[in-house]
Amino acid sequence: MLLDKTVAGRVIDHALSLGADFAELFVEKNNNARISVLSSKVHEIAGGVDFGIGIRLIYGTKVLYGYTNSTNEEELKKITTLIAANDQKASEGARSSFVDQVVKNIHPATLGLDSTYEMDEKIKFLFEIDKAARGVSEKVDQVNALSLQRLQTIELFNSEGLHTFDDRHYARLVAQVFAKDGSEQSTGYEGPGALQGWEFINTINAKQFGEDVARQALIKLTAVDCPAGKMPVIIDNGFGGVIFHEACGHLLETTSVSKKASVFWDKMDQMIANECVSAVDDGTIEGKWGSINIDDEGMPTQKTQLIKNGKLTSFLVDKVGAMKTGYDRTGSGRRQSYKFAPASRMRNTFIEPGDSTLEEMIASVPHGIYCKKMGGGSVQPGTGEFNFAAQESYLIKDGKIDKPLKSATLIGTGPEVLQQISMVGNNFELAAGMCGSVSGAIPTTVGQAAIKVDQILVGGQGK
Amino acid sequence: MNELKTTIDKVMDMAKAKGAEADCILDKSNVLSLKADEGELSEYKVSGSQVLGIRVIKDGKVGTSYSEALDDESLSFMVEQALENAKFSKDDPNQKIAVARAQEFDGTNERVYKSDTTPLDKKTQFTLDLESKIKEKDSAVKSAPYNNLSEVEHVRMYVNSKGTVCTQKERTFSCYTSALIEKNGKQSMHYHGSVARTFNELDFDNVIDESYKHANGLLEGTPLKTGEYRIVFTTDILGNFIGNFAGLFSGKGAMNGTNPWKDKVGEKVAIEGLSISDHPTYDKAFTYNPFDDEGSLTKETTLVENGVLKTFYHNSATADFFKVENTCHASRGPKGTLGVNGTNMLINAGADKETDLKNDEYFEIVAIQGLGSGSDMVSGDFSFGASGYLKKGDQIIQPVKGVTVSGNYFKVLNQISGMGDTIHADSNKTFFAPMMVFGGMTVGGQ
Repeated sequence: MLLDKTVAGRVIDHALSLGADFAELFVEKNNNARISVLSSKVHEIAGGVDFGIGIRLIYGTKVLYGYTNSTNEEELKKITTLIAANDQKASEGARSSFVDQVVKNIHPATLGLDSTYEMDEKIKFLFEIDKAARGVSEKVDQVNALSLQRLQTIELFNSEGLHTFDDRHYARLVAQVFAKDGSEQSTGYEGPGALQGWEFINTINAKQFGEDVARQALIKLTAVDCPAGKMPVIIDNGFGGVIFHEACGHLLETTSVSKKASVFWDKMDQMIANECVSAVDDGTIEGKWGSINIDDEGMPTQKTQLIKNGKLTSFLVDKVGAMKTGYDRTGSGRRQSYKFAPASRMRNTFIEPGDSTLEEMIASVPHGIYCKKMGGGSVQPGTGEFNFAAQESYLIKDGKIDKPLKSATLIGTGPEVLQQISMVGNNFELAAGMCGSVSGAIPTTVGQAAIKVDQILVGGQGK
Repeated sequence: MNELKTTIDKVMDMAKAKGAEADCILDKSNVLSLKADEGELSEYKVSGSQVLGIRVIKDGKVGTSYSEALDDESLSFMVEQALENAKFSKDDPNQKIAVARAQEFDGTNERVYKSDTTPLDKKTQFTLDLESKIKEKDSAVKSAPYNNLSEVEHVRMYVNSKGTVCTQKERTFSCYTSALIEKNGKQSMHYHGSVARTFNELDFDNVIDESYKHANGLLEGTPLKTGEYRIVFTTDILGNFIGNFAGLFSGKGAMNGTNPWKDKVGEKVAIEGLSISDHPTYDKAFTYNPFDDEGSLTKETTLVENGVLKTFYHNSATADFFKVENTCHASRGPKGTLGVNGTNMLINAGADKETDLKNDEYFEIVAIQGLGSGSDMVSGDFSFGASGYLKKGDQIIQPVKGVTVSGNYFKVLNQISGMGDTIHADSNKTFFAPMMVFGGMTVGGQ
């Protein structure tokens, strides 16, 4: 227990006495640990503890928010009074008694930060990656391998009587390899993560992992300029799913929908994608990076079908989004930390697999691009204009993979690109990433099987 | 302030008792943040927070840790964790507690901290106006979906075990709004912002006008034909573009072998007419950093002179590693490890009249998307989405959107074909540069 239940009750009572329609305390403790190996030496070991309490009051649909690092009752009441100052009205109801909601832990972790797993073992693992990457070629110039672990403990109280808490164990492994050949320089990067402890990292073959990232850097050393212009693009599985995340996922969050700042705000039950596209946002997949047991408003997570055979079937809905739009909550209220009010956000979001093979897709393209690894991207929700970077890509010439290409950006708008997806593959895979939006940066998973986009604008320097 | 100092002294004593040298950074902030939606406040956020970070050096090894809770138990745990982390670290002969200065340094002055008596209802009305005044511009403005007014009072304190104490208190106001325009099935959105040290100095009218001007101006935008164009960025976007590759000036990156310019000091990296410098206390700038995060007093640094790379941003450790002068650009947040960072960047004026530079057709870029994800600092390759105007003189030939701009940063620094004779500041007043005309970039469109 992070905050005394009696104190929490009195602070919420105080909020209701100021006329708030809803009051919530989000209490959070975060343990972080980062180990970095660089130049074949332990470079940095760092960590620390975050602790704070976020206070959210809702008057109608208006959200008032404040936070503090203190558990002192008077300080919490002071902030509550401060944020309610302009909206204070006669109290309309009493707080429901707290009922402890026991969270069903569907994402167990065994080697979290609270375990006694040895630091030496972790360092040894990172050294194996370093050694493997350097062993691939003399052109490998530098290797940075690092591990990130986090134990986030949250406790929630609200005026509807909710009292619950949850532990979230995160583990992420990152490797960046720098290669050099004369004046040409390049990098390779991978960063898998999971809602698990170090046991997730132990499932990764360190040698293979280091070699794969090194090869990615070496391939890019030989890359030629990517052509520019509109053309067909095959986007492979895993992190390729960032296209759906940016082109569509953000536009289905009620944060944008409720303001009509999404091109899809009035498209429920309408065809918004090619009928070969079905998409899901699922927080229940065991141990995945974007999974949760409960959202940051205390609602158990769920699997939400966003698009079925091209038709829009659901938005991602948090509490305030539900109040503003009338749609049912989907357990999608998420936030980076106690410093942010929750907002509707994605979890593990992906296009469901189809039945085409990658080979069939590539064979169907006379001249285009095959994007094997995607980088990050962003979207402007109001217009649906998105961009994302192709990290490792190849020219497709006469239905066959040709030369590796330098980095390129793909741009378009969500509604357009969803209609342009003409084939969905069967090689489904998920990949971890961080997503930044109104409620901060949160772990999310993107994913898909390979897809074929018939036409999208590719930004490169070649002809 | 005295209470904070007492807390840090307690932590210092704990570290010293364990035989370690140490320095601490404490950040304390109070924030007010307001947003408007449909004529009422949609966010009203008030917060107070603090975080204390420690770096210990014991037996030549470095460890860091931090805590947001400042009770004795949490602070003791933080010190123990930093010492534990140090045990597993490599020997680091370059990191030291570098600065010993007996007299406490206070960087607070009228320039960065002014008292504010603006009543809350005035700030509330200002926020509501960020939405309503945009809508009043044109019936085609559908909404101002993203807007914000924020006020931050921030205290930073640096203390080390050699007696150095630096403090600075700042107050910052910032605002932005967006115009989302929809007409004839076409949509366009543009943002603009302003920062100031007092509420009254926020440039409300400019924020509204710029947001509307470009959202409206780009509504009928169409892609250019794929090819090479003379590229000009607005000062804001030029600051983003150059800043995106600012890691090339990192002494830490050079020391770690991750900066591709690590062996380039003394070599030509740009056209001869280009000089770039860093001014931590520049009198026209918003940022005022009289001390860095090791407690060193800062100074002006020339990074590139006449196209030649002169030095990197250095802290005491990177300067020691390369055996060069410390440029006093140490950067460390309470939660981070020792690094380097720039402050206000100034690019020298050129000799060209802006009117002459505009004589030939050029693509003026006013907004970019995906610059960070589309850039590779190691290879220098970049590719990002862009919108703006194809112009000749000050006349718009074609509003442009839905294009990509690609090139190689190392190459385009040597393909600057013109530099104006007037220095402009970006909206944040941290980047100062003349109009620059770039070649060597491919625009992908039709």
